[in-house]
Amino acid sequence: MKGLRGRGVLAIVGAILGLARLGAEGPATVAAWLAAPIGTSYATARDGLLAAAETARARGIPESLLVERLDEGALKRIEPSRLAAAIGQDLERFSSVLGLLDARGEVPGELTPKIALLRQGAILLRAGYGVTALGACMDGALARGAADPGPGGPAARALRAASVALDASLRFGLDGIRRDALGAALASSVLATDRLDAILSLFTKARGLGLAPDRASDLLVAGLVKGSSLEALDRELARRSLR
Amino acid sequence: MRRQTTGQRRHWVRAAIGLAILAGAGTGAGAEPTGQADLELGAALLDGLPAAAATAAFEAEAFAGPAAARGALRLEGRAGNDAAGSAEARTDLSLSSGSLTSLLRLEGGLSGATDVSPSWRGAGGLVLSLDGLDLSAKAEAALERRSDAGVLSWQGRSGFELSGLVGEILLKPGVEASVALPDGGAWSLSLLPGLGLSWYPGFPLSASLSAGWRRDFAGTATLDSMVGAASLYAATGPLLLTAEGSATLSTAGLGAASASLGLSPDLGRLGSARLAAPIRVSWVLGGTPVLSLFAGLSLAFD
Repeated sequence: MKGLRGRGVLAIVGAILGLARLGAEGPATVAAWLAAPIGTSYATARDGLLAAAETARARGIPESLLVERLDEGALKRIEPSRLAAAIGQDLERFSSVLGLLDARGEVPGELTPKIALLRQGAILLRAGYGVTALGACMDGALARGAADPGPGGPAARALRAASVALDASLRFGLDGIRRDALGAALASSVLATDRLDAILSLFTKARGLGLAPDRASDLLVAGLVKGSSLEALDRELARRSLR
Repeated sequence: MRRQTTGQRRHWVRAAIGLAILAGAGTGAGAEPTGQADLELGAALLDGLPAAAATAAFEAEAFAGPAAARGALRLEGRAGNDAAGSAEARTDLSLSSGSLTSLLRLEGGLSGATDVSPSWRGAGGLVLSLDGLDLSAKAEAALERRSDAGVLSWQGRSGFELSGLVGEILLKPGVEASVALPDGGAWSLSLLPGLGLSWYPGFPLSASLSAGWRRDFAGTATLDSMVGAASLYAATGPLLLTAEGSATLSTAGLGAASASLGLSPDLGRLGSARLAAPIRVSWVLGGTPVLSLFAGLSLAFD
């Protein structure tokens, strides 16, 4: 659990830095980054980083995502060989997320939402979320149809559901299987996209009523899969208390 | 309702397969029973006097399609300057059909203490719930036979409650009526319209509040009182905070009241059990006020 928590913290830091990078002016390409003052320490990894950038372009992955990760690595003073290896892993994560979106016809036409989806998806994969489980979230969100997918459409809803499930798993110590089941159930649930995080509050109430986290997870997932609203889940928790 | 496209139908099939795999693998949502057992042992101070306290709770549940069966048992006991114990059991059988859920409940309890006549109760009830996207409704009726300090009585209860989500707040207006008929005594009627609300924000905190106005009719006499209850649960890291309270205030003054505040740090796993170290301060007013402190260890097996 400690490792998961650490990765969770790193993921949050990465997300924050990534969002900050969006608003900041700086190198837009890996080559420009390497030529800038921040990249001079990474000259020994130049060839590998440029190769990664070329691969990203070939796969349709915006190079700015790699530049964000380079900024993050340079801020943490990661040594060049380790950073180059990390960029390679990130490239595979971005590719995996793009593959999931492409297989479902959900790749945004505009650059900004595409970058946001790839960034968030990669954060989830880096935190331990599986590609198959992320795909299940997307299928669940798409199957839910056009009814209130929320801002960003079904793909954004799917990633939101996975993020909430990851948060719940880190806070309440859920195993990977329960985390993935919760994510998929949230994505396909009747809960509005901006209310998916209410599940954290429901989990807390369940704990307060004496339910072990695994039992709470099973109960809430069963309810979400059945199509229960927040009111129904609240009622299910209330009738389980013997206190 | 808009007809589904071929693409949406394909996504439904993939989503259903994926969910079935994930749900069947980890959630126990199939016919195989799942359950939980909790054991709590500790030391208590009741009005300054030490006592040992223990609680054991068991719960098992099984699903078969739209039907579900659940059983729960809770045992509590303490021994110190005096001894007391209680046992509560409950069985629920439910059946869902679309947005309608019917639930049959059978429950009973037994409690006793040193120098106090034992009390018991047995009840059966039916709950019907209609679950809508924006508004839900619940109606229930129950019949109970009980013995309090040797006095036998029948009690019938019925209630109706609506619940609707407004932002992060779940509003639950409702009304409850109950009739009590002691053996060989006069009947009394209580009406309790009230409002409950539950707050489910997007972080690990949950708060509930309920308040109502109760009017008791006993013969030609009436007694008005306000009843209220509140609870707060918050989780930060491995620490769980619980705060609960209830009170009845009538023209005759403060009636039954209780409050408790607890902290329960999660200590991780011990084998297949989750270990925690709960600490609670409780205050109960039901005649003579009793202040108690509890500290112990709890094990949860699931």
